Amino acid sequence: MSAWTEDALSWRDERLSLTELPTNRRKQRSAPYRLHRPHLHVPEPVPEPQGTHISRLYPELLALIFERLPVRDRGRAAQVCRAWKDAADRRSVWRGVEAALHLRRPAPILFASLARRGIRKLQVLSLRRGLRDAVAALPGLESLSLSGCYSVTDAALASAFASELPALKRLDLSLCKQVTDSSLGRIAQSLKNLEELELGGCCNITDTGLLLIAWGLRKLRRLNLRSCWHVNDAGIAHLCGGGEARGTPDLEHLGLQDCQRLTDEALKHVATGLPNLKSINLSFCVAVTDAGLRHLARLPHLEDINLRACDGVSDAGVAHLAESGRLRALDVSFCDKVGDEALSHATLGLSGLRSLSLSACRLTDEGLERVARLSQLETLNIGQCTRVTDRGLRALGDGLLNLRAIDLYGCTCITPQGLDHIVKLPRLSVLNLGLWHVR
Amino acid sequence: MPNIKLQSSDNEVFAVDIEIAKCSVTIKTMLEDLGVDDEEEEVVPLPNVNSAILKKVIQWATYHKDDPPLPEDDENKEKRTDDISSWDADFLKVDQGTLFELILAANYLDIKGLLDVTCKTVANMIKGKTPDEIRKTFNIKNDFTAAEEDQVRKENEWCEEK
Amino acid sequence: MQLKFFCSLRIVLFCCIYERDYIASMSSVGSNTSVKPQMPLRQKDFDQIWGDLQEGIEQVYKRQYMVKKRYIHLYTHVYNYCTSVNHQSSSSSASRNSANNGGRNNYGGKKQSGQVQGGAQLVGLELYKRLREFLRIYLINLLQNGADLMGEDVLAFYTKQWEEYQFSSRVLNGVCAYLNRHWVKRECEEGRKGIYEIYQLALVTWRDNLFQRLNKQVTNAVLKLIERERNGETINTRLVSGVIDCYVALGLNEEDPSARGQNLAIYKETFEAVFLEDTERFYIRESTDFLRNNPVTEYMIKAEQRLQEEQRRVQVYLHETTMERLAKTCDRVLIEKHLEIFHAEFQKLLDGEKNDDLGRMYSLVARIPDGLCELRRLLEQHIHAQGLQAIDKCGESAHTDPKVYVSTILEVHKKYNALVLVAFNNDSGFVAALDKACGRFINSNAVTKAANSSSKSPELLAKYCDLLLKKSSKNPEEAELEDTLNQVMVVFKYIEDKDVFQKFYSKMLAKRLVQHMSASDDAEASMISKLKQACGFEYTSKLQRMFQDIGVSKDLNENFRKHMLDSAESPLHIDFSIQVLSSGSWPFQQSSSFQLPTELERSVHRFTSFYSAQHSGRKLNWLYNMSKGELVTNCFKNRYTLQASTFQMAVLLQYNDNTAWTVRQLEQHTGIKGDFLLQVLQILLKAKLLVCQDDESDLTESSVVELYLGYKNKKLRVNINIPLKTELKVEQEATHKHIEEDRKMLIQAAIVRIMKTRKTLKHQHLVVEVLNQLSSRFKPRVPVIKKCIDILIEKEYLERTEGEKDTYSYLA
Repeated sequence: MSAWTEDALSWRDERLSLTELPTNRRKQRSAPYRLHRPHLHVPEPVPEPQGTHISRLYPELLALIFERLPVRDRGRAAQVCRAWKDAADRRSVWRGVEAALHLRRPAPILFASLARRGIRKLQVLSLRRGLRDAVAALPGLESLSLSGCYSVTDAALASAFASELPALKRLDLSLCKQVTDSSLGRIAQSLKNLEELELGGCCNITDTGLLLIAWGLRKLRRLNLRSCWHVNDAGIAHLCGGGEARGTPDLEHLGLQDCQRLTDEALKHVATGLPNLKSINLSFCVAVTDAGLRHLARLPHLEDINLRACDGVSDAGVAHLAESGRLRALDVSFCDKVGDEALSHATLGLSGLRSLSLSACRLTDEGLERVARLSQLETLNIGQCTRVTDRGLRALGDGLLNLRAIDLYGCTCITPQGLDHIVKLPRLSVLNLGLWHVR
Repeated sequence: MPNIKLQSSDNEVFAVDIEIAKCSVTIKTMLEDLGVDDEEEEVVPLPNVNSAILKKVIQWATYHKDDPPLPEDDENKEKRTDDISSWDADFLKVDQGTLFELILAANYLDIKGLLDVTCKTVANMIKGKTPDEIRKTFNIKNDFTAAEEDQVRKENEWCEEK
Repeated sequence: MQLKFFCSLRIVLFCCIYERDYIASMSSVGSNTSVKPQMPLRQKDFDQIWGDLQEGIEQVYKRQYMVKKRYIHLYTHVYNYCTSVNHQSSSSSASRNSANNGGRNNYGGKKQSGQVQGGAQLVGLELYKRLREFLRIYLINLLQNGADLMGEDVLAFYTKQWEEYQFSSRVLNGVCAYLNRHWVKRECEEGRKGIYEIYQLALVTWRDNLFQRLNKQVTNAVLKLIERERNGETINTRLVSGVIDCYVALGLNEEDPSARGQNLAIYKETFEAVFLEDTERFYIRESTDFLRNNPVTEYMIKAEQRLQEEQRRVQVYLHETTMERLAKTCDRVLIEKHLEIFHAEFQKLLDGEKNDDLGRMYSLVARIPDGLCELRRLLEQHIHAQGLQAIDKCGESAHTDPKVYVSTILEVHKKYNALVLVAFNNDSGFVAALDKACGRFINSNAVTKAANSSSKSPELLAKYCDLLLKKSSKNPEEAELEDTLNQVMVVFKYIEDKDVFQKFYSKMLAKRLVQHMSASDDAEASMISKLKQACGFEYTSKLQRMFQDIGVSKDLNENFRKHMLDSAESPLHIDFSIQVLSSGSWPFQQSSSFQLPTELERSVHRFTSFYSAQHSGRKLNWLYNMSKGELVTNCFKNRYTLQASTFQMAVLLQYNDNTAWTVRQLEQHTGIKGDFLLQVLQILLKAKLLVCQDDESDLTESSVVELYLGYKNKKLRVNINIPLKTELKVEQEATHKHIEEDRKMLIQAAIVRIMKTRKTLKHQHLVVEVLNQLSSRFKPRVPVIKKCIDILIEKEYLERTEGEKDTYSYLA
């Protein structure tokens, strides 16, 4: 009975306009064709076609040309004539393209067109209905993003993911605030090959949800739990294979930004259960302390650590991290217990660092002289370090020959003379000074 | 360097350095399959390329003979079309007909670099135009029925997003 | 079946003839520089193109010479074929003829665009199908020639045809490049299965038509050939490698034809699996037969040779991935199956000292996982038995002569160390077996059993060190000495009771130092540093302190001499030197009561005041029992110099006042206690310096002892200072007793250390930890540990935890 009504609905939709121009767009957008601004380029007189006409180009050659167009222009080329439409429907034209749509209702003709073109990445810009049909129409779907679709409910996901989708590797549910653990149960069951899962801002997720993930998503490589406030140490333990769940041992990137309930205990689990972890974001995890970082230092592949505004982290914590000797990116901005002392450790063990952020740390010129010895550094952020003077900049200018970007916003004690040392660096391309200096 | 003799569809013969001729994968594969024997001064006919175009192709290949092979394309990266070298841009300041014939020749002879740069050039002529402007540019007739046109517009509306 | 095949063949031939005829008439058109049809291509045109194309392809597969012109011609055919229907008129207004009047004409706008598209795809498919059919028929034909061949003939046929087919297919692939580049690529993009690039298609067709029919006989022939080679014949290895190359090439990934890397499924299934079975069968038979008729040592040579041959076989004509599995198969059949025979032989080889054969057996058995365990066990057993036997053989002399004992041990060790090094490749497991065996026989053997103490070994070893380091006529050269000391350390490593060694060593070192009997300071220092390396700083700290004291004393004596010269007081007239030894570092006991002879009193007094002026607050205790001096006699016929102990001097000096004393009188004057005095007197009586009416052994307090004025000796310098027998014995017993006491202290200290960190601990765990901590020093006996725990409970360091059995807790 219900199947019949669904059919009827989709039939009716077909007669209506398939996708509407949404009235409420999140991103800056323009009406169709507006981007072509004829007034901006000199109007060429259309040359009288001579010699061989473009119609002599075979569809495979038209496809080669269309591949080289921006997505918008591919869509317009498809509307030129039948021959072009056929050529534009070839899969090679749409390889790798992510279709971004507003889903108001099921739109079979559009979905069929996407399927014909072999589209495998879908970004839903806003959702009313039709997710299930879209997913069903695109069996090869590899990536699905519902980021910011506030209206997504557990019921909608349950129906969209009712059967297994072995091709789906990436799912973005960030800011889908109605999503709960029940959806994660469905996902763990149907999306077994998922490699990336974005749950940033899904604030209803609890430890139970992580248990479900750990139970079903063996291949997960990237997981973002930003601002999942209900997550505790026990949830992280699930991911790390403690207890009945198998865990997610292949995880390489873990985002725990703003998961304020997590403590050092969670990091202890991470250090033992996620041996392939390459990057971790712990910014605003205020309960994390130096002891937790000692655990992290044991991870053999960890390269990137974000500890922004972790109030519990001090110089000693940086010393623990320095022990590993493999870090390439470290952010301890706004950790006000981190100062010059941390850098005496950093220069010993963190010489492979490419990016270092120390904004608003207790940093003086002495610290900068140590930073200047990290010769591989490409990015350095020391904004709002108000004790830094020209002397420190001079040291940086002498030592950091690979530097490409530097942030000095709010360094109130530096002068244009000091900046000269920075500006002369051979590879520098970004210099942020904010309001204090006009250059 | 030994030469190879290439003969255009209108029977003009060009002596070309073999290494330059090997820009064409078709010729390169042929030489590999048949083996190169220097003894014979055999002419290789290219029945699908006329002398004007063949001349341009040889000119292009001579200039680009030391180019590194093109990188494998990455499907996640939108292809750039603004990276045409100034030499190529000058080289391709030709009428549409010649440009299309160069595409056909590059395709027939399998010369990846030339095919790439000519396709880019045509792509640049399409970019930023409405379907109607495109039709005008290339003198194409709209052969859609009104209903077809409506459907095809709806199919492609999403491409305008972002 | 046969008949049916025959029929289809005839039909094919007929087709060919027909088409060739047709093409012959076409070729005049072709030579006209353009093969491009002027008119829209229709089915008829396709047939024409295909006709010429097929002729060309036949030329390719007949390996006929082809000119470039013809090649391009064929390529252009394919190109035209693929692009012909693509074209359509979407802009008829502009369809002026181009410069070269570009052949592809409009298919006509009347068709639906989708249909035109389909047309292009269909044309590609049609060409593809025709190519596939051509290859299929070509191969079916070919099969007729090979189907009945066997043995080397089938191999010669198969490899030759394969090589040619491969070559021709590569040319075909080049000719069909345009089809590959666009049509095949698009089909794959659309996810169509079973469509391959033309070269792949050629391989698949070979696989389905030739390989499927012939692989059994081909594989069998290859196996036969290999068997003949194993039996010593020379074979044409190119026949084998040709087939193998083919099998490897046929393994393409059906799911994803463009996927890189080989899929070896065909090779593995069709060849490797059977080959390994065959190998196993061959070697089971061979090895069993060979072992029945030859000694094991011969078999090992044979097996080694076979393993090498098989390795070479893979390198020469098989795929490299077979190496591992083949080796495993051979190992299993040639070695593992006969391990028991090997084990039995191993003991014989050890007994016969057949080191080469042992080495061979090792390298063979090492290939088997865990195969070496039994050999290690046997080796350990053997070395242990050999060690015990060697010590037994020395008989009595091993018990008393440290040199015999130690060198016997060293000989055994040296012999088997060399064996482990050379024959067993210094394999860590075998080194461990050697160590275990040596540890066992060194700490427990005939000598230790006779002494009823495992401490006998360290004692004898320490004594041996003393022999080496004490001044004597037999002292070895420096280099040789160093070498010998290194040997000592080898034995030392195995000693369990290292503390016993330390006790004896320090005692003997003390004596050497005090009596200036060290052969060489360098050698002493070298030995101490070796011990330090082996057991740590703590172990040798006392030894080092002793060494330092001797150095300090030298300076002290010098200063004292100067002090005396500068002093206003009258000179001593006695050559007097002292050694100040820090108490605690030296294993000496305070001497028993003694009254210093007046002759010496002044010297002692002067030194005491000199020393206390330099180091206020230090107390000097005099070790008279360790002191000695020289007396010059004026009472005998000759003037003798007697080297005497202080006690002897005290007694003899009494005779300056009187020539006869009773024992009691001597005791009163010298302050030496009765028993001890009797021993001193016995020596002097024996030396015939004194005489007594009573028998030496029956002296009483009232016995009168007189100076013997008729004393005579050949030498003018006489050493009468020989150690008292009882003193020696007492000393040894004391040493052992000290060791027991020291051990108890060490055990207690360890217990306290452990409990301090653990706070509470089960009895069993505590014992284990104590054993662990002390293992580098000695092996504590469990009852002793228990006793020490009781002592500590008594001293209130520990208490038994209430309510928990066998658990102690630490009382801070």
